Amino acid sequence: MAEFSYGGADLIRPVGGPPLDPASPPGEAWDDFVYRRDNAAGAHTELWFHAAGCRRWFAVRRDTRTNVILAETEA
Amino acid sequence: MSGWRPAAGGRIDRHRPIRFSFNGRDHIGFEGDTLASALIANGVDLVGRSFKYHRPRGIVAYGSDEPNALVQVGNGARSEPNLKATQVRLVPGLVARSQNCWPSVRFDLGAVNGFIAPLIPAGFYYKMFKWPAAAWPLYEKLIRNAAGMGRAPSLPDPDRYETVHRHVDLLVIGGGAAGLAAADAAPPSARVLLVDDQPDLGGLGTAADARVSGQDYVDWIRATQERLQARPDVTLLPRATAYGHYDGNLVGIVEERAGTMRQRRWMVHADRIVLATGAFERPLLFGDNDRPGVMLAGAARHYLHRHAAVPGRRCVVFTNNDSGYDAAFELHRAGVEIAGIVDARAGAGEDATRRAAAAGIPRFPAHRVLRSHGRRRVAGCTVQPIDAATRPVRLACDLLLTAGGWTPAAQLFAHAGGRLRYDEEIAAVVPDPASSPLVAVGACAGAFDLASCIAAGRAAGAGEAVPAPAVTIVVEPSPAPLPRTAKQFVDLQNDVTEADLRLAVREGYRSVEHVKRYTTLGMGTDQGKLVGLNGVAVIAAAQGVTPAAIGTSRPRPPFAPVTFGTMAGGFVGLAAAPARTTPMHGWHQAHSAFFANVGSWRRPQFYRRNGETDVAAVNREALNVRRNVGLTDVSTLGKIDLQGAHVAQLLDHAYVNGWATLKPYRCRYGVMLREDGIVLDDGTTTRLSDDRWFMTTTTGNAERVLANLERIRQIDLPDLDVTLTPVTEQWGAMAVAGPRAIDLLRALSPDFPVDTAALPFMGMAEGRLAGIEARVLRVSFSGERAYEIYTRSGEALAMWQAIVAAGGPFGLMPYGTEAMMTLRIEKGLFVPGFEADGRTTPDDLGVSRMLSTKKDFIGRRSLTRAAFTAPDRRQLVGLMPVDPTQAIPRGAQIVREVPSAPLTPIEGNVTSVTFSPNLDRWIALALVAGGRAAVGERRIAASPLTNEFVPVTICNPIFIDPEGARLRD
Repeated sequence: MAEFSYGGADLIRPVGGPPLDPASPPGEAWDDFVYRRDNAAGAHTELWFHAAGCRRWFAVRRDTRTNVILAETEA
Repeated sequence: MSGWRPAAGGRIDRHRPIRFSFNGRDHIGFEGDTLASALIANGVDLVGRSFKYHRPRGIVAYGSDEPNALVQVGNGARSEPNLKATQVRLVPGLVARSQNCWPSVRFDLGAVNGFIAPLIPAGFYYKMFKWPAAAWPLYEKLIRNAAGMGRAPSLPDPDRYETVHRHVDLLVIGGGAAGLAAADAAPPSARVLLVDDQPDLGGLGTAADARVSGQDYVDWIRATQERLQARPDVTLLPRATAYGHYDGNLVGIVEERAGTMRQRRWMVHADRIVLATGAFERPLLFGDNDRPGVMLAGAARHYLHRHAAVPGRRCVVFTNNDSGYDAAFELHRAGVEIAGIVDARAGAGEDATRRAAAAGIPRFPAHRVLRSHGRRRVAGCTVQPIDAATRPVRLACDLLLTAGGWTPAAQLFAHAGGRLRYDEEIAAVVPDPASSPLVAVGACAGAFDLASCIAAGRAAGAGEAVPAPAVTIVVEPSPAPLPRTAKQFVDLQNDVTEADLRLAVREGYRSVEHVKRYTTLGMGTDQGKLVGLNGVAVIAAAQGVTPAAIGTSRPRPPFAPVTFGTMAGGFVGLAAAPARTTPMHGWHQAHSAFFANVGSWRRPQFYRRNGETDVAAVNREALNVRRNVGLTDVSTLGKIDLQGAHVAQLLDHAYVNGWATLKPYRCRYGVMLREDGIVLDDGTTTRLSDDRWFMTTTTGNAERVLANLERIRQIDLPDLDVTLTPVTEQWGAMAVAGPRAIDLLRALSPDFPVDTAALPFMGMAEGRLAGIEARVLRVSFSGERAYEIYTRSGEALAMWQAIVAAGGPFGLMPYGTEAMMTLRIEKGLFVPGFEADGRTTPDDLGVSRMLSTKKDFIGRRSLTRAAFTAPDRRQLVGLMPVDPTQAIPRGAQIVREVPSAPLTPIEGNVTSVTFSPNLDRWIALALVAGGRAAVGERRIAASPLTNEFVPVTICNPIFIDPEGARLRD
């Protein structure tokens, strides 16, 4: 078990909108959230979880080309 | 046999002779020798046979760049293969052997490969041995046995290894002139670590009598080292190789040690890193350039000065820069006859020309060596002018030194993203300073002048800008390859010739990375340290472009071989994989439990009795649960304590079903999804009071579910009043299941009410059971009336033993995970990893009636996706074999008919299989396209690998008691 675990891209979960209708498909905003990612070569904000520690979720801004951590913030 | 040892000189201790054995023969060396230097001094030329052609080979280089002298050292458990003789320290009783030759290095049957050489160029195994296809396993076996290096030891390693972690302000890699200067110039309070792979500091690039600040270099080293040793925060680490640079300025270092701690790995986190790793000399190419007696000029100088081992008596030097002349003069002074200096350039430096004339050494300007001659040792070479094809001259010699220029040892620079660029003047690649936080100084940055190396080192050590180096060495590119001559080896270790590279280019390989992998150029244990730029030059010439256009293949860690022992460090044996055990572990062991790993948990699979088979044990246990009562250890379940006013809202968001209506002392089964609508986990959550809840998860998902809940609490719904605490290890848990469970518990503790009125199905009760505080949940995984008993983990064993002691009259038997699986399959209960396999939605698993329509939850929005509502989705069903005596194969695919055509549509797969002792037949759970509408139809469970095609009938996945009467009373 590793100390930190990766939690994917830091995105805002779409909420609200019209009432959930069982018959209507999820829509673009939801599909973007679940499946689509930019995969930028450069700064990227992602979530990490301090699993074997304080159990805090936090956001990290990392350069995907060099793995240099640019910033750390609250999730 | 031409190597010899002069009567004086060298940094060896002639008062301490060392006896050692090589290929069964005894020799004498001295303290301070390496195996290579001692072999040279003892006149041993032939040290091995090459990888593919089994050509005789001798020592070529001085350090980790040695391609030929691979030896097996030691016997038994400590035997170590593939060591370079140049890096083996000579110790008393050393036993070493050549590799890859049989019966001996002098007479090797493998040399027959030389006769079939035209059939086995680089990459031959991609093109030959294709017919007949069925014979390939035989061909492969023969080829593998014919090739290969040393033998791995087959006994456990008795030695210790450890890993230490260090944080330093300055890490200096390389202890030569530039590296020592850098460490010396570090700020006074800096924590400094300096590593070097040699036993003594000072490096290999500077002669002992070079002048620095008015003193000899050897005195400068001593003074600098004394200053460094006097500083308390400076650590000097000789005999240590930095093998890799990783993200975050992390460097891995292996330190060679003596004694029972064989190697120590240092993982160093450095604020700043100075790379002062020097440069490797390149050989020059000519026909039969792999004959024993052909050596690098710089290596010969080191053997002479450091070890008083001279590799020959009559020498030719082939060079394209002035450093070859230094080798000639020094060997000449030591008593070696110099038959000639063959200079690829038209003119040498003035000083070099004058000194050659003064020493009476013949010069051959604008000449090249065509090929070497001799049988198992160089006896002479043929020399010819480069431009004119006039009559070649033959020179007799027993030592042929080549000096082809210097390649910066910049591998570590490129490990974590640093880039190298081609420098025309030195005909080599140098680090590009802008591309990496590492600061390269000295020869590894392309500076070969001592004064600028030291100045650059001082600047880097102090953290200042490094001055650009003065160019002091100009290298003529190697002469163009000769057409149609004897083999010219580019990579000695992997037997890759210049012709192989040209063939690869003709076959269409362009990129240096492709040519490398196709021909195995530079892929041996020397990692092509001698190879890189010579190979690039040949590839470039074959494509008609410049070497700069080709570039070099990207170096990756490790720089030199690192043993598994070093990597493992202390994590061996019991410490290799920490095992999690339950409070009842000792009891399971004492009662013949057979264990399996579930993640890192050790769980009993079954308890074997009286010589019964494994299968018989499992069947006995499963039968007994439904007939009498069984006891099983479920302490491994994930457990989470939830507190606060808003826990129900959190649960509503995490689970597909609703929680606000759950009253205290009641449990509810819940299913969790991922955001893409796929089932993640299931478990039981109990309400203890208005603001206290207790959740269980499956064993394997405990950490994942906790992370998920924390994510909801911290990110999705941060305003909720909820606290979460993982309590998996704080609670032991066991299930008492079966029709007689209620009788057992009544007998155990008459005061603890367990009848349905007091403790209904899906209810919870707290109190003292067998005198121990317990929380009892009436939930069931087996489908029988069951009680899950939770106690503090410190008291769990006592509870277990009390139940066992009370169980005799009721036919109590413990049961393990295998019987647990049999029982749950009989009840059609899905399990993450089997039916919930990362592709199934709630509807697929038949639990869509649990989905709440009143609230949002994780994954809800994904469930309306068209693909998830298609009628041919694979749905959870049961399978029974048409012939009741037949078994259903594990992992079988579901098809309509026995496959005859090449492509048979697959309609599903078997997810769980068991023999059901309660039904006396095999049963299975499966995911079958449109399964629920196909109940009653026949399919085939197909397992082509085991040649089983079993007709099955689709049925209700709940094989026993579909109404659940046994659960509820």
